[in-house]
Amino acid sequence: MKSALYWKILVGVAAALVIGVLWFALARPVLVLPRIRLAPGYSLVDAAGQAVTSEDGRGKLTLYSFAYSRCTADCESIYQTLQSIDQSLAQQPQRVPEFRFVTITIDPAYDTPQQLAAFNLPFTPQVVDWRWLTGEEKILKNVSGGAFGVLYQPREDGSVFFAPRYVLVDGEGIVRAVYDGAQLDSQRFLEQLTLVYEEISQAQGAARLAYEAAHFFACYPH
Amino acid sequence: MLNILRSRWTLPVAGLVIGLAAVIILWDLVRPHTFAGTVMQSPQPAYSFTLTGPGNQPVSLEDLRGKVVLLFFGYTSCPDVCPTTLYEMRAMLDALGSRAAQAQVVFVSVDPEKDTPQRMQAYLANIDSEERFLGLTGDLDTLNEIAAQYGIFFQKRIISETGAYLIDHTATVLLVDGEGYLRVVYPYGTPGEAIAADVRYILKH
Repeated sequence: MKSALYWKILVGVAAALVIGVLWFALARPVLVLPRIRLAPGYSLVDAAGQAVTSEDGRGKLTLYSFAYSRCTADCESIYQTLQSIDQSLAQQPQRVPEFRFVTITIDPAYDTPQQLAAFNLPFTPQVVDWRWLTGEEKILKNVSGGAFGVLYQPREDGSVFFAPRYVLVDGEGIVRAVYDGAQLDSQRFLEQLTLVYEEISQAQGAARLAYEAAHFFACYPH
Repeated sequence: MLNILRSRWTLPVAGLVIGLAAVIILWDLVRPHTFAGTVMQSPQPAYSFTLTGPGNQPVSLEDLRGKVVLLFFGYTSCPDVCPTTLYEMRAMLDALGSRAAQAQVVFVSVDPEKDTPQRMQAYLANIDSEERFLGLTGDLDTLNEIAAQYGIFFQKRIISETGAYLIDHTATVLLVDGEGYLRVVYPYGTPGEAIAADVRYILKH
């Protein structure tokens, strides 16, 4: 009789484990953004001529975008998107700390640091640190065209054909989201930014197991 | 002895022991392994490259398929970070024991000016007398391209008027599995034994 009871307990524990795992995979109580690939390593310069490396982004969340100073209508949507994110963040009572914008030029032949310094952004960021980066053409080709996968091609008239893209990189230098197109819904982006921030700040001890399980079961936001 | 076996407690105790063993085995099967680094979910294989190895022979990442590759970028004149990491890599191979043959430590030089294949081989043999490390080098453009793809920054820094220099570089260790996928990124200072536990888990699964 007692042996039967033990077997019932054993089956009960096993069933509870299986149901728990299934519940976690289906109900997705913890959401994460995937760790897609490594963001590129680089050493570039900003508009002040100061060296900026990928290591400067350690511990920070970075939204990379790609543009060029001579760009007119094609880049307006990009600036509007960055402005919208900045304004939305400014209105949040609890902001994600250590978040920054980095825009990498896709026209390095023209966009020297002096040229970038003279370029006036159509808006002044209220809360987000924002940097333009430029550098050697072949390095930028590795970084933007190669590792970030941005499609761009200079035209004869000095303009650049390109497919706008935003890339969210976490503080460990890992790409967490790629958004194609110039338009990016700032609310949707902020929700996803918050997910990454929460994971980084909370994934310790037992919570880390839950976050790793969320990655394992691909509990990504729709 | 027979009396013990015939005792009325025999069955319940045996049931409890078997039950506990079953729960432990089940838990071992379903629990996620806690990796010592950051686990990646790359849908694409790690960036493919070909560099120059021992005897000036070309070596590509594909040549190492079937082995777990631990990739580290550094240089032979590196004063601290590189030897420290390579000693951890040696500890990792030692901890793997007989399974060490299924892992390959690859040291990619970011100093093509000085680091010839011969120099790298001598340097690595000095750290691991069993010569289990593979040293690779190439031209600067190729190294820049590969480093960018693996999230590695490197930059020469002149430290004296005589032209002596150091190279600042990212010191992460990257684990590429036997099928060529980047699986784990380890920050500088991750103990070799902890990496060995991950390698063992990856080899097992």
